[in-house]
Amino acid sequence: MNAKVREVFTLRGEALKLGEIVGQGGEGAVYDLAAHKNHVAKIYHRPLEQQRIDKIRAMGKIKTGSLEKLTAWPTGLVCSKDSKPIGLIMPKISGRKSIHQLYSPKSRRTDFQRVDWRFLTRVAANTARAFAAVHDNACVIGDVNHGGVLVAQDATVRLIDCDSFQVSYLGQQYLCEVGIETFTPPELQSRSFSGIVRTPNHDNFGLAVMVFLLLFMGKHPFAGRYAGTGDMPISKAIEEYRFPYGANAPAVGMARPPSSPELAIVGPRLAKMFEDAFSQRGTSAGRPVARDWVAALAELEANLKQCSANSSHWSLGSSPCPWCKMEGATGVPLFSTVVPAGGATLFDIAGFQRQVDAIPHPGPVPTVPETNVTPDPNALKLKGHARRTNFRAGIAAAVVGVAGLMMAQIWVLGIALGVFLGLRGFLNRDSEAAEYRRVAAEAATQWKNAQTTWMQRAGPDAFDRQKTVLAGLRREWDILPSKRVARISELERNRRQAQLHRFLDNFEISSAKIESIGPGKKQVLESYGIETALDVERNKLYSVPGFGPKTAQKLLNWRKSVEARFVFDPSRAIDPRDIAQIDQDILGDRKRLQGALVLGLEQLKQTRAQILAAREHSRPEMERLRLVLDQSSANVAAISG
Amino acid sequence: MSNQFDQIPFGAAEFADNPEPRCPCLLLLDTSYSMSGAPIDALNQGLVAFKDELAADSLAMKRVEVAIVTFGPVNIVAPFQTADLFTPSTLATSGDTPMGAAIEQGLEMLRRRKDEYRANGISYYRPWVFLMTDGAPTDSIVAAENAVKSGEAAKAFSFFAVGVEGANMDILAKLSTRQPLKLSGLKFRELFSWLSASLSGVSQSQVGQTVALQSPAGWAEV
Repeated sequence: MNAKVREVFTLRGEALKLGEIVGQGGEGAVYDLAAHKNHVAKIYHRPLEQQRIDKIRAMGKIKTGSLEKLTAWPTGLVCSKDSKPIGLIMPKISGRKSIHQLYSPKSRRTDFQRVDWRFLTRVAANTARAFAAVHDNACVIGDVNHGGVLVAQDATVRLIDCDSFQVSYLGQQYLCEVGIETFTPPELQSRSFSGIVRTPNHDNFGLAVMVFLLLFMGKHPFAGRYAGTGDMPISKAIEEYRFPYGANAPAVGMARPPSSPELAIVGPRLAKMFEDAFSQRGTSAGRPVARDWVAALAELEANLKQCSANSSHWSLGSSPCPWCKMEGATGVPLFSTVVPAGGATLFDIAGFQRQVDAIPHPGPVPTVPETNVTPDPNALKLKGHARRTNFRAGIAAAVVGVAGLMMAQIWVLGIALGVFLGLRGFLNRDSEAAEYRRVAAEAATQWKNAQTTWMQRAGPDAFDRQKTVLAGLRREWDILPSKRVARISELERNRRQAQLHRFLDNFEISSAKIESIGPGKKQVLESYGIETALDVERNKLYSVPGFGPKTAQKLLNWRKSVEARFVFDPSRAIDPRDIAQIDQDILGDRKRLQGALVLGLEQLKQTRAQILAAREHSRPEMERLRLVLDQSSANVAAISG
Repeated sequence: MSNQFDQIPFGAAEFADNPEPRCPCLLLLDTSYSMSGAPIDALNQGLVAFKDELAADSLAMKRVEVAIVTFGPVNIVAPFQTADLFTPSTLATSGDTPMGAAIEQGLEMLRRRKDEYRANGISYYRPWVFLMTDGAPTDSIVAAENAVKSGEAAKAFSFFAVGVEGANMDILAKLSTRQPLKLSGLKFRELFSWLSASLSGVSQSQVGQTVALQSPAGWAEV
């Protein structure tokens, strides 16, 4: 209903023009303000309730410097023409992205480049700092969620959606009556938020979840494998304190997701804090508070060490490196390649090539050898068992039975029963044999799939591809000098053209007298980048509004008259500015190539490290699948033998 | 003895890369001859719009998983994959309407996908199954009907049936526990736009909670 609102008013009656919509949500839309670059207006879809109006007013009263710096704290109400409050004004926050785009590896690769675990640790600490500031001001966030924290490329954070915070002012409490289940503490699960007074201890659960998501590659602390039957949704796991990373996990039937890091990678201090935050103790005796997280995360960051195999991996230095292990087991690159800062301005290409050549080839993909197995004793019992025998036995039994009925001889029926039992035994054995074959077929498919993955991850192809890329860049680098020579000789050939261009470029439209082109038209032309005779081209003119064929022709005629006055001077050397332009371009190419080469070298190192990690950490799974394959085919061979 | 095959973490790359909870959506689409011409074109355009609208929501892109099974004959066009990987292929018409087999096949895919979620410790929202047809089944739907009813009862998924002009609405009513919806005209685009908005809504909500859906009045005959 507010779609048509174009103008709103502050409480003091100042009119504010609404600009573009910068965001849409369930509650309202956020607009740019034409006259206030640093602020935006949120206009609600529905009329504001008195409670909400009072809350926004109160928030304006209690705002402090730290809240303003760390959040998008509302600064006041805005009203419609008839003085009804319809929204609020808050600081504009730009150049930041939702925290979920940082913590899951997939979106991190595109939205936050050059991020390693140090950065994630810093963001976690900064998030805790923002929480601490809110709590220090007697407010509670309440609705902690994946979209409520915005992160900048320098790891600083700001909290948004502050109008849902729980606020106290002059003894009056304004509640937060919403929440997202996956950030909601156990004591508030499965109940409505309405009328509930939220406490900092509730927030501290959400904060612990957020820190965990950041440090554990976007994995939710309560998402795990459940040993029991049925589903274990996150909300239920939270409510029942089933923390799959905790010491207590086996007792509550939970296991970490496959190839996820252990809790210990954060060190004993933070591990204990997570255990406290996610346990019954946290509910009853209080969870670690925001300040505790700030201190512990700063300590973690200070103790991080770079992995010797992969420069983008930072950890507490345990062996093996948790990220090598996780990347090796999953094949997912968790952090982007980081190029070492600094470096000499004079690039030593020979030295660089030596560095590239010094990186050893990872060698061919290792084979996972066949294992020595003996068939199952049970499979041996089925030896020589073939379908056809069963079928014949079945027919035989039936024939005896029918014959018995026909002869009406009880004793024959007895025999038939005996044959029947024998037949049933055969049938059982038949299905057992079929099960062995099914298992073997399934194992073969799985082995085939696993081998394809193994070739991709543990094979040298990626390394070879990267070397080809580097070789291509090197060739480009080597031809840079000849490229310069070629361009200068081209200039030589085009000297006449170049002189003409230079000549035309000296005639500015603004100071020329051109028929029916007044100052207004000249201004329009200038705003379209048409400034000198050189810029006057038919195509360019047609894209300028108000320039039809007639007016355009006037300008083109002018250009022609200027051009007629041009005299080529063969004795004049190439304009030094043109050579400078070429040198500028070549320098640009050189810089670009230098950057690509340095990055390419780092990527080559990283690729090699990932291949070696895959060989180490995926091997146990390959050996297991190989064993299953060999065992099941040995069983089938025994049956068919 | 088949237990040893249950959990295979090898190849869990997609879940390590993107551990967000999943919101699976299975599309069972009738591509029999009767859909030729304008209906199939409208359906194809609708699918493209579906992808575009999901792409506008960065969280839905990581959470919503789409799978497509077409029937006439039964064909898995797309296995379950997150919205960023899903690229709608242009569907062509052929054959009759083996709706029963398509439902069974689709629900089996869904069951397997859920097993993968569980094995990899990935939480998920109640899946949505969308059946769209313009005719009547040419095969038996007894097994499919039972599978839908028991799945709904167990809250294993929510099943929606949409009839295009010419569909046998009585059979759709028998199949689904919800009232089947009739597509007004060929408003596939509006339908998919609604579906994308609803899935975005679900993927922002709490796992296990029911979300109030928008009215389908924009595309269905109410």
